[in-house]
Amino acid sequence: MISNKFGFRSFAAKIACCLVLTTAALSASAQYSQSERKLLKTANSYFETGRYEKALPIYIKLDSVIDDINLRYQIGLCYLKSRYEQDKAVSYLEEASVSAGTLIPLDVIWYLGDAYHVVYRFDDAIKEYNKYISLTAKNDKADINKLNHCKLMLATCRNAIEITEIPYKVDIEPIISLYAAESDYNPLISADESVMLFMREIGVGKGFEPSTHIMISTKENGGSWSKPEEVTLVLEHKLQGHTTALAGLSPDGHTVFLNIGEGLNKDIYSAKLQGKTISEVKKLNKNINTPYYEGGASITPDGTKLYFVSDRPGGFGGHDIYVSTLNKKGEWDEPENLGEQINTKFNEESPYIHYDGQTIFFSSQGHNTIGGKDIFKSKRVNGQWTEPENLGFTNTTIDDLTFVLNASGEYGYFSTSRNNSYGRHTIMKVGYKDPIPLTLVKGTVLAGTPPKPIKVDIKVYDKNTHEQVKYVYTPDTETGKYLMIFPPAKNYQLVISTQNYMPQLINIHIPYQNYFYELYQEITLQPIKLNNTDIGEEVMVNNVFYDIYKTTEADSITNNNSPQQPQYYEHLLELVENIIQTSDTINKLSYNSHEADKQAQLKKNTDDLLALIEDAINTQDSVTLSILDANTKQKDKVTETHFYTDGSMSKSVTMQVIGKDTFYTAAPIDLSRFEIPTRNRSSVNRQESTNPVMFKVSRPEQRNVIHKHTLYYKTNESELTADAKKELRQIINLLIDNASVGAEINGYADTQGERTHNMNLSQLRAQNVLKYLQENNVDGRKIITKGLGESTERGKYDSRTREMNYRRVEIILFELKD
Amino acid sequence: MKSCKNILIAFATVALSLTAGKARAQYSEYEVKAAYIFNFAKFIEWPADYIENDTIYLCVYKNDPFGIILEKTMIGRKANGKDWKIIRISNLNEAEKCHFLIVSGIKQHEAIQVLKCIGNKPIVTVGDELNNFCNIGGVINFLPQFSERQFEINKDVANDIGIKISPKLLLLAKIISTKEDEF
Repeated sequence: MISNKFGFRSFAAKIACCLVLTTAALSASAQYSQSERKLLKTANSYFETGRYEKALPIYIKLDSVIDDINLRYQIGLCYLKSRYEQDKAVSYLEEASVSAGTLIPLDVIWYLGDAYHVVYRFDDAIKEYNKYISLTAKNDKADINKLNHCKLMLATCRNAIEITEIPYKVDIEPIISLYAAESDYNPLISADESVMLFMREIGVGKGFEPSTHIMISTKENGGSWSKPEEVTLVLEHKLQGHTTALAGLSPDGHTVFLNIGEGLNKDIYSAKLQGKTISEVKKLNKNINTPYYEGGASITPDGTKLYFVSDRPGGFGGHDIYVSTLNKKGEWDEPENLGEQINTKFNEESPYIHYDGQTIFFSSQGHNTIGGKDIFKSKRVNGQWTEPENLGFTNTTIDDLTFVLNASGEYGYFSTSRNNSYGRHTIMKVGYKDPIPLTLVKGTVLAGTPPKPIKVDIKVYDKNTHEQVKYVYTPDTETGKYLMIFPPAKNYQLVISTQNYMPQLINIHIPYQNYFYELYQEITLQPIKLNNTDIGEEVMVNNVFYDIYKTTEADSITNNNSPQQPQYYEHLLELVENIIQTSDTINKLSYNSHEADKQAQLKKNTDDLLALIEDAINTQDSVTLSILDANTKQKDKVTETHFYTDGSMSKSVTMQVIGKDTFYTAAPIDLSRFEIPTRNRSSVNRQESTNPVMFKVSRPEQRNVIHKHTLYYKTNESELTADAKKELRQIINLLIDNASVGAEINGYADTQGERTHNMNLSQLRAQNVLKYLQENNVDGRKIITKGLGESTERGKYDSRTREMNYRRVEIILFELKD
Repeated sequence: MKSCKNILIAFATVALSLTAGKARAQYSEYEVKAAYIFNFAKFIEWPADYIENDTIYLCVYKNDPFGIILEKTMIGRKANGKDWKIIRISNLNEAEKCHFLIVSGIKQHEAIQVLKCIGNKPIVTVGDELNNFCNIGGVINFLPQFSERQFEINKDVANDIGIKISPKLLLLAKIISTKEDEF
């Protein structure tokens, strides 16, 4: 095939004089005309400066008119070294290798090894590398770097053989709706997969300089990703014109981390993501950002730890992964290197700490890669990172950069250029069966009538330690949506503060679980009006649980706690569950359909449901309806009505001291009863007591007073004495035993001291009585408390009345008239 | 014991038919409720001239726990040849045209106001697990999960406002009667 002996000889001659032939500036052969020589010179200069995609078309053009093995060798190298169509390098380099015969230049051997590696021909690659090593063994002038490269690649190929032989236990599919024939990479998701951000490089492989864009896609109602749009990036003037790339996204999807800068000094910035706009771009502090490179950021769900990449001095070489902790002042502390278990002398990139705070995914060129950078996974066990494990299915023989996993550990996202000869990346979704026992609480806070999103802060406290979970969850003001992730078997208190409503306390009990589930929560705050005055507010919490994984263990847990059902009913549930489970699995295995099919499936599900109910009605089949009922995912409602004691917004029913903060709140809503997934829950829990509210809204003339009791206080005292508590015993019994009896608690103070102080004192007295009643299981909603301030007019002091009589709390028990 | 066994067999059969052809099993509470409402329309007759243009107006008063589910269930499907139109209202004056009125998440005293306001118009009021909704004059009320029946019907109110409810539906409901002489 190669007939040009002269050309070949010149080729061989060159090897003879120089072992290291990389860019082969060829001595011109007779076939080259003047213009062709000029072209060749241009191509060579492109090649030497690394602009392979520019050199390539010229070499190809020359190759079409001139038969020169050197040209073909150059073409092979261009293909191999550029990002595009690397697979084409093999045939050109093979040709060069064969033509060279025994006089083969050493470089051809190791380039051919590289080319084989790229196209997954690992055995062939190993042969070439071994050949190179044995040939250079006799040559003391051999390039030590190239020798090391061959040794490294030998190990890489052996890894690759081992890793690629393991069948993947995952389903991988491209996300059709995102696809745009451009290079999409670096996908980042919020924990609930409602938002995805990614980078799009437009023009890859099209011969011009590609441009990068930050794209956003959101989950639509049908569960498919919307057509991506470019985000609007609001940058202050001095940052404009710098390279800006995505570095990370917070679990709630509200904070974006950006990588901005020029050259080797890039820094991490945080910014707000609202709708499709990224704004309020702020540089992170000097502990994070140094004059070196910083990028790739991932924050834990509690917002206290930031994992990021830096090449600052003191690491293990190249880019390393560091972690910084948020200190008490709310600033990022001096970061720690993750250590040699994670970081190698090569580059580590794109850390992604999973929402469980214990699993990290990152990209590395070190460890056992199968080529280029690969994605690795490591877990933190007893404070130590486990040996990184090659993720396998994401990894190709060239660079693989980002992997993110949703909160349940069920679906992951990554980009790959596998099977794309232009090196364009496509975002893939992977069904990844590794359940992580977390509870994802996702919800909205709405206020007013009609309910609208409102600007609120949610603080979360650990109920046992009373410590605040540091992160303040600020729901999106446009949608009121928030997202939190909790580990199992803990109790939390959410304190929701807003401008126009009183702070509210909501208890959340996260059950012990060994599977993942999601709680959808809707918190509605509504003012209660009587004659156009706000007399209180109502907090409504709606919960829906979704069990993502129902395992046998989980079943046994729920069954142990489930209310007593007739025996046959349990059998029935099991039966139905099993059948559903089986059909589900089958469905998931064959689940490879497109969005259209999913829509069709949803429609079919509704059709099935409609037909099921219609048939049941037609045949009066109440059993089917019972089964359907038992299998329905229920939405739970808890309503707490809370009345202002004195019409002012400054005080409320109960006072709670948590940590360093004091909260005046409605009685806590206890969600602990939601620990049993709804399927097995009895309706007993679901009673809404509306009656107690009637006591609160009743007018004085509607009340039949049945008993009055007065407690007296010492000057400036508001605490209940032991005697007072004894006196209250009977009243408590009366209130507990009689659903129809409510109480009015009126606090008074004397006229000594300041008026406002006395007002507060009277309120405190009344509230302490209420608190004591509530502690003793009296339903707080049956009780009206008022602080009425001074019990007599100033100056009208009646000397016949004992002074103590002014400092009192009156407890009036009443029934409502029909 | 025997009856228990029979029930089990019946359940087993039903369970099979329930899941056959149905892939992703569990429905949410409001998907099921929407499906009930859809089917109610097939077993309820309104006075002859009350339905215009073959369209059933499904109204939701103030609180709407269904969201998009109503549209997904009703739109594009016909109940006894009739199309659906879904309207969300906050003022009862807009309830004029309604065939169904869903009432959810309100207190009893407010529910009484709503029913009073509707009066004798042939509107099928559907309470969403409201306490005593049928006792105070509502037509249909969904009952909480694990109740003996899934919904209750006040057939006296239905009669009074000129709505005919199929006996098939009545047989599955918990019947509430407000006329004392029937006790």
